[in-house]
Amino acid sequence: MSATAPVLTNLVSRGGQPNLVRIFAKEAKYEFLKSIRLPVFAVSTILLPIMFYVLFGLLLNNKSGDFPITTFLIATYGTFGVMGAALFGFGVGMTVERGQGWLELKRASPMPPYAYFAAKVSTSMIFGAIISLSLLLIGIVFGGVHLAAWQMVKMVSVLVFGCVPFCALGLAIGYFAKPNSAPAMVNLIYLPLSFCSGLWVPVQFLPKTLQHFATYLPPYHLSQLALNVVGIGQGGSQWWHVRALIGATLLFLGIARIGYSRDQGKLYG
Amino acid sequence: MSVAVRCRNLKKTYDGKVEAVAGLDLEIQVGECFGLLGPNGAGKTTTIEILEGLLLPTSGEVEIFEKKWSTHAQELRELIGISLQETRLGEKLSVRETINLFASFYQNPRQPQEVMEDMALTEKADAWVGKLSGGQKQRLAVATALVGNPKLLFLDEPTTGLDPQSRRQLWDIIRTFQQRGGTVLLTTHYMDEAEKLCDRLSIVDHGKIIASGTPGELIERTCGAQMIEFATSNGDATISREEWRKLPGVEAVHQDDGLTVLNAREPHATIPALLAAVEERGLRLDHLTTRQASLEDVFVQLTGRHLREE
Ligand SMILES: Nc1ncnc2c1ncn2[C@@H]1O[C@H](COP(=O)(O)OP(=O)(O)OP(=O)(O)O)[C@@H](O)[C@H]1O
Ligand SMILES: [Mg+2]
Repeated sequence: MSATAPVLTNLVSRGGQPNLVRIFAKEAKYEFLKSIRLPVFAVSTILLPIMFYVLFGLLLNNKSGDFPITTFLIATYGTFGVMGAALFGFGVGMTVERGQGWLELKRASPMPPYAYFAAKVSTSMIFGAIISLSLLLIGIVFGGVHLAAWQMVKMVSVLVFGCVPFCALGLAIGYFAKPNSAPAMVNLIYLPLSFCSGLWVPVQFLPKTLQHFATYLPPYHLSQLALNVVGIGQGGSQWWHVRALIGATLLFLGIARIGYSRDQGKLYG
Repeated sequence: MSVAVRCRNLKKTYDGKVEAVAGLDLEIQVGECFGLLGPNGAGKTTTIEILEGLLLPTSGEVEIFEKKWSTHAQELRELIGISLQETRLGEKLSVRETINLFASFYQNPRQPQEVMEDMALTEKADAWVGKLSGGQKQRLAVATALVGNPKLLFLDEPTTGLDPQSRRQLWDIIRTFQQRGGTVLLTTHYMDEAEKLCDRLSIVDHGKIIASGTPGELIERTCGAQMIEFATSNGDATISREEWRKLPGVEAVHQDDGLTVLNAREPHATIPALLAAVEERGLRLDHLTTRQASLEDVFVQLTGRHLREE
């Protein structure tokens, strides 16, 4: 991806109009269509967190104590959902497309390779937005959630942009997994990671050792950022969480890079 | 005339073991339709993917329109269109969407609608790719190669899996593309296809070119003009190959599937002599045909094997 700069100037200057924007928009649009039309993807990433929310937040919630569980779960299931969309979109989507030769075909076209990745990130973000907005809406209508407008905006933004580290993780998985094993591998990472980060059971109710372990996990930090918006986080500093997420992103990108050179070293960029 | 594709001493070894391409030279002129012909595993796909700039050769040089992939990748990508041997396009996009998407990658694409009409896909424009038949998918793959308005088309077994009618349609499309000044490099297992479509071709085996030329030249040079196939029985005196070889006008003899096959440049001299020899030894002629030599014969002649093991 070192060819980014020349490609940019090339495309913009030669065609006269910013062709790049058109490529990017088309790619993103079709990437989204492809995902939403795939029932497995749409159902597992959008419906699963919503079902969990309805089940554990609304139906099985015995309203004990003054813990604002319905608000809490918007943040944690939101994190869960965003993470799923990113991991499946990248980890599974990419391996499958690599296996099918679809990625190779695009690589042979003048499409800048990063348009493909950008489209996948945008799709994850759109899914993130759909998931967090749905949770908010259900929470407000049925769960007695009261949030100020700025809190809602901030919560959704945190969750939408919070998909980035998980896109990077998905990318890393995508370069190492084979098409057949990718879904299993993603689930193997996705589900334990969610649990240990306190997305299902609030982290303060987890065993002490797990509570400590959670602070090393990116979903924990994203959920804390979202919880801090409504003032019910564990109280770590914002900057600490942000730094942890940036660190995780870089780490995953580094791993992806190794996979990339191992896998595509034979290919021209 | 200028050169569209040139490679010299191309080699590709997979994982340090499998020598898929073992020193291959090609020179394809602008405006030519060039064929790479060879059995499974000959190294056609490997070669074509190296030329497409998708795979790095282990050694050797590649120039496309006299430019190298390492320095002019972006520019070259605008000029080529490819259809891979096996691509499964996104199943959840429609035909129209897929073609539109590929059109958007290029500076001066062709009208997606027009390409769709050329490839007889208009009827399926709004069908999802996952719902197309194998042949329709194959046509869509070629459509994505054409929509970028390329100057050079790489087609890896474009007609495999197509019915005879679709195959002819695709031939027409390739010819039209060529008439507009385009250059084509295709691989195929089908001899008749290579003979009808290609201006020149190379026969590849074990990663090397074993013969090159126009189809006519190759046939003429390797086989002579006619093939005489026959079978005899009723003789304990089987006649050896050597003896058949001595008949007038015979250039080569081989056995194929129970038949003796003579390459004859002058069948008018060979056939009477053959009949006389049969008569003389009291043999019975069970089978006799003569036919125009084909590229298949060239391949058999050169390697002792058939191109496709049915
Ligand atoms: N990725 C790879 N890794 C290892 N070996 C490979 C790889 N791709 C191809 N080969 C080997 O290289 C040789 C040439 O393969 P290639 O695909 O180029 O043949 P081909 O002429 O296209 O055959 P076909 O007519 O079956 O498509 C084969 O022996 C094949 O097993
Ligand atoms: Mg092949």
